[in-house]
Amino acid sequence: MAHNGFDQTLREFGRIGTNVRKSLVDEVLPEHFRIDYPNLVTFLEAYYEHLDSADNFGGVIHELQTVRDIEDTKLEYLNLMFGEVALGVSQATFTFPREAIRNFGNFFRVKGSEYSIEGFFRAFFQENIEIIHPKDRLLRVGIGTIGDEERYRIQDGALYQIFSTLIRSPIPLSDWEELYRNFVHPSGFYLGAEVVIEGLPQVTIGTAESVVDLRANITNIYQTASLGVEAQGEVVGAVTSAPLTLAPLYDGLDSDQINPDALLYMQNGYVQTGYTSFNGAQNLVTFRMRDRYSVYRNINDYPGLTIADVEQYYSSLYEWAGFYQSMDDYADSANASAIRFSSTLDDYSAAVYFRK
Amino acid sequence: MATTVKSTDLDFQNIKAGLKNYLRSKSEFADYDFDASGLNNILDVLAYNTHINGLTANFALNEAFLPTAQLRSSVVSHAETLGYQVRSRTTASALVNLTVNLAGVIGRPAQIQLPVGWQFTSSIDGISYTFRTLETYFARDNGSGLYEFKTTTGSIDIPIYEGVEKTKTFLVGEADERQVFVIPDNTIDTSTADVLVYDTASSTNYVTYTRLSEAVTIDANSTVYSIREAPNGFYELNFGDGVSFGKKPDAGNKVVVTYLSSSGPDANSGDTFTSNSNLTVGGIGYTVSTATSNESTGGALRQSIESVRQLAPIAYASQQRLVTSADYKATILSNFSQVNDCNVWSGDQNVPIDYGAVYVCLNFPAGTSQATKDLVKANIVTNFTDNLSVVSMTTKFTDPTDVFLELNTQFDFDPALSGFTLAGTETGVFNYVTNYFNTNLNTFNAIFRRSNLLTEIDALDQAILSSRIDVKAQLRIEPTVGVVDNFELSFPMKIASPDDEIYSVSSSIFEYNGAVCQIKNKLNDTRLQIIDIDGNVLLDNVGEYKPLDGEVNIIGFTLDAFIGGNQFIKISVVPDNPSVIRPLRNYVLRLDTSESSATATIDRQTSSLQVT
Repeated sequence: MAHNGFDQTLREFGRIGTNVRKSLVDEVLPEHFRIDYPNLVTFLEAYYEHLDSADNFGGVIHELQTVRDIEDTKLEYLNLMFGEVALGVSQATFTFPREAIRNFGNFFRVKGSEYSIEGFFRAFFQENIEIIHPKDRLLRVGIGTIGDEERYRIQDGALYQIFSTLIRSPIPLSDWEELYRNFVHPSGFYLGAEVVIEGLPQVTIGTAESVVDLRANITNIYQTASLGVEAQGEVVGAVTSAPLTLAPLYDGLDSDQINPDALLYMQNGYVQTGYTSFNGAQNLVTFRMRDRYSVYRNINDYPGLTIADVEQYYSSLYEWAGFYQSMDDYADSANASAIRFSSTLDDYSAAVYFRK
Repeated sequence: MATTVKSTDLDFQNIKAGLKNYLRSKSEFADYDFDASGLNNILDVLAYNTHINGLTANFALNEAFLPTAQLRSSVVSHAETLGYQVRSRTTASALVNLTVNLAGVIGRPAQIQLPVGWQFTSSIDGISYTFRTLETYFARDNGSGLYEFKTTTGSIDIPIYEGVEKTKTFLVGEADERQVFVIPDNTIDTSTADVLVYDTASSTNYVTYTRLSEAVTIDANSTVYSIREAPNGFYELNFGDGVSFGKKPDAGNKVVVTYLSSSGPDANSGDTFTSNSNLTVGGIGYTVSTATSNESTGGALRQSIESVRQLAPIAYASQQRLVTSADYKATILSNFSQVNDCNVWSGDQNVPIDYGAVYVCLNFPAGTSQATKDLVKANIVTNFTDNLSVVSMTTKFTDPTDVFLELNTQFDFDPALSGFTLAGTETGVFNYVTNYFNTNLNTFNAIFRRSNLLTEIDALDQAILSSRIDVKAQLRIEPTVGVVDNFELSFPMKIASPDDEIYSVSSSIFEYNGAVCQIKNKLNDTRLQIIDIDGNVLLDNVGEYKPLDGEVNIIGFTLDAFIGGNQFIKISVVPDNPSVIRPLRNYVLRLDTSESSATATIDRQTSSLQVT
């Protein structure tokens, strides 16, 4: 249907044009009847009008025409169709259920594939995820070395073995595991999960007077820097079987060590004991900056730090709290050949040099 | 169970009242007396009309969806649109070893033949059933005159199938429309059908058509057929359209369908088979000796509506592949009528973890022989998992583990509110609990929720004022008298921590060192002891239990004798959370009726009747 020269892009009500909801009382009855008993005609017409009202059978009959029309049927009936072709998952799961139901056939045909895994998360959770094959990281003789700092792992009979899939997503495993196993997961495979935490950490580096409300009822004042910025940060860390007991071992304040589990780092947040000091007199909570936010640290304090360490450390954190990390060849102040590691955010930046 | 859509009010009085209210709200009828006889009669007629049409509309609406359809024909039709083949009645089959002894016969042949359709009789529960071969088998002289028949693969296990062979003949007419040939028999096992299409009614030239599901490629000349259940419960034989979906029989052709009419499950469990006739060799009849290799199994009625409703969507999701655990389950239940129920889980969910493996637990009907179980498992692997699963996945089978629940129900009972006696109500409650398990549990993944059962008990009779249930879970060990042994029991839930008054672990009684004893945990401790009925500790350490792991490890245990008729000992534990018992993997929750009870306490609500 065209309108003003353009194709109509809204819902096309004309697809099914039959209208059975029409009272024929006046046409069916003989003329003399209509003349002699006008009230009866009105009465009957009122009756048919009542039938066509909501929740009466006239309305149901009209619905029958479109009851299996994905576009027109009520969500209540669409739910029944989900029961037929979508293993009973509720239409309410989807942002666009009428579109989702059309794709289940294709989805089931490719179950177990990367396509189906990605499709599952897009359809059910509106999220893009990353699929990792841990078998690619298995140590093979003559290839690589073992260790956290290295790429390769020994087969561990769990995540790091042949029959294993690792899903890196922004959603906790508990939220999607059951659905995933029903719809996608190849039975017999290890299911591993990592959570990508994306947030808006208020990395406000403020003046002593600036006030940031990170949590309700807590007034925070940062005292360790003087430039106010607000940035988006990202950190990637393992979740499944992550030893939560590791958390206390890492003080969260030093960046001279490789962070064994960035998630734990985040879980501890900014308010854990030892990270803050409370000034009761001024009703202020002061948060210590984690120096990884700052590149002002003195590299000389870390004589063991190598370029490889820094590369490894920042390899998956090219951006942290808005600071973009980069390394390039450079000449330092003494004009010696060096590697420059810089961290920048807008016009705020710093760099350290590793002389070659 | 199916749910239904109820979109309009289907109560006549409500319909009439609604109509009346609607008309009253119209200004034209404001002064009408709708209760007067004339108008009242008209309203009755209109309300009846509305009622009937409302019912019809609701029927149509409900039949439009697989989850809500009530008619078998509708459910079958919906399933077919999902590509699901509804299972017809299936014949029972057995494996037998067949031999003919021609020792001493001069000039005996090197090979003899057992014709297709050779019949055997088996008596099951006093009723004779006829079994028959569906292929021709050959046997060679072993040098001593003994001929043992073998399959083409060399196996001596010859399959025989129960059923009466029937034939239906059709003449293809001139109709332009696609013709459907109805086989007027609802006892057909469609998997046994042979379809021959003759050139003419009198011709001996024929073409054998193959089942559509077995066709590799299909074009206009493919001689394929399909059989589907018709709306009236009979079966329709369908051919191609002659264009792209297989050959269409020509006018004047004769279609002959031969099939087995099956007795279904009645012919299961036959373990003795007798050849109905002698095999003629050289003009002389010789006895065909029969030894049963595997009893008759697999006979089943046609698939139930609820089974179709449950499995068709899963089969659609599986897309003829075995990827997820649900795919395995649907495929097994759809194709193996010998299996009551099954559960499948990934190796990464197994204990111990086993990657690259898929675990299948089959629940067979009581009395199924081990040979039958083994045969079904072998067929599952050979016919399905080896072909349809993810490459390199291994299928492993495990048996169900029964976890018995001991439920001691106590309820307050006011006799003044009931026509039943206290004892009668106790029996009624106990029977209700038993039926509750039969209906809701006794199968895989069925969760026991105490509050649900209590709600239903409270609703049984207004005289039941309140109720509670003490829950214990029980596994059983089968020690050998006089033999020291270890037992590791794994419960599907956490066990209550040690208590200073209540034993978290206790066993049924047995004889040990000449005394009647039980295994119990030491109070306030996880250590297990053997204690006599007077409370004396006869063995201080016979293992331990791990509350958080739900494990009971009995170490170095022996007994002098069992007490009672059972040759096992019940090990009962108090669940950490008795409100919910969730069976995982191969666990099935059942009720131990011998350890369960229902006890009432009189609680009179009428103060005048209270005894002071």
